[in-house]
Amino acid sequence: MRSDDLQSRERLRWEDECLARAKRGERAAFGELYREYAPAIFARVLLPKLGNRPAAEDALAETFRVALERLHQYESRGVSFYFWLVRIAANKATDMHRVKQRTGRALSSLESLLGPLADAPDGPGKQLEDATELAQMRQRVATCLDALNPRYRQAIELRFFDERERQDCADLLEVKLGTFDVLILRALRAFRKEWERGTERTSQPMLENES
Amino acid sequence: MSDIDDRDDWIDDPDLAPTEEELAEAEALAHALSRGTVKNGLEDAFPDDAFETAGLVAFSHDGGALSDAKLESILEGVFEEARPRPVEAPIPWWKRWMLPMGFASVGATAVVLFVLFRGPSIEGPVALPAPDGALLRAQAAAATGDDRDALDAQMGSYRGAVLAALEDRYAR
Repeated sequence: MRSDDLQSRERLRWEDECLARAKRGERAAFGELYREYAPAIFARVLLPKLGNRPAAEDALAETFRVALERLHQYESRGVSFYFWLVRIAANKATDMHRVKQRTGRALSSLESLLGPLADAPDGPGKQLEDATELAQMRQRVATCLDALNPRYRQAIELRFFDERERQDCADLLEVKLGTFDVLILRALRAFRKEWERGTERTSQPMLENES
Repeated sequence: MSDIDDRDDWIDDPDLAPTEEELAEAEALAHALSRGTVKNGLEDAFPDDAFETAGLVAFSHDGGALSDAKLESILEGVFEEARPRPVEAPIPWWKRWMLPMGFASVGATAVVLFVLFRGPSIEGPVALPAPDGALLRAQAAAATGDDRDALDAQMGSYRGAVLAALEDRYAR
């Protein structure tokens, strides 16, 4: 038997035990399922679909609230519980986009930019950190940043990598707050141009091979 | 995206004076990145492309990781908000037997009451009166062709005795 088959059988057995206990009202069992699957649901489904961390956190809470309330309806049928959660999460994200005019939330979708990284989740055992995809993505981001004007690169690094407040960033760059806001807008657009240029470069050989 | 996209000089010169439109976009982006919402009055200026790119850059940095503290606080909120279906406690064995036992008791009581109040019991066949000698003689005489009236009289009397016996058993 292949080791991944064995792992998936063991995983299903573990899930079934947790689900049986959770259905009897044991919070700890539901907590075990949550801790196992919430990080992947967040990183691979909600964040790419919403592009806004606080909104994705709210959607994560909603996903697991719905799962807990409908747990008695769930039947395993040999498929991981994870995929049921993925479906609930995807519906939540769609709902949030539908009502974003009313809620005023700033939402976007990173799926087209992320490409294969945001494809359908591979499975419950796959953690994003373990995948080489993230390392490749970081490498690509670094390449794009290197191609930018140094002030743009610095603005992005301060704001998104060092996670500094706007005013801090403005002070460090010795500009006014409003000027920093324009700087970061331009920096992001310049970055996107580089990113899309890179995507074109990587898709070009594929197209050539196909023809 | 604003008309600045039509020019490329801003890519090389970050200090180029911004347009009015670009200023509004920058303000809307700053608000969205800080608060996660679209600022009232700046809906049309909201730069989707830049906001999306910011999400990508942030994602590449943290891989969408959630801290343990954040995970736990979300779980706490889930337990507070959720209204799970009440858990059905397993039924104790004695409760499981109560319903069938109840039906059985009611049935048995009904049978007893029926037996007690249904009236007199029927015990064996009804003892009919035996025909007397006069009837037998009248039958013999009628068989030889004599006096059929005497037989009718005797039969009437016997029929009355039989009916009286039957009435005594069933008509009480």
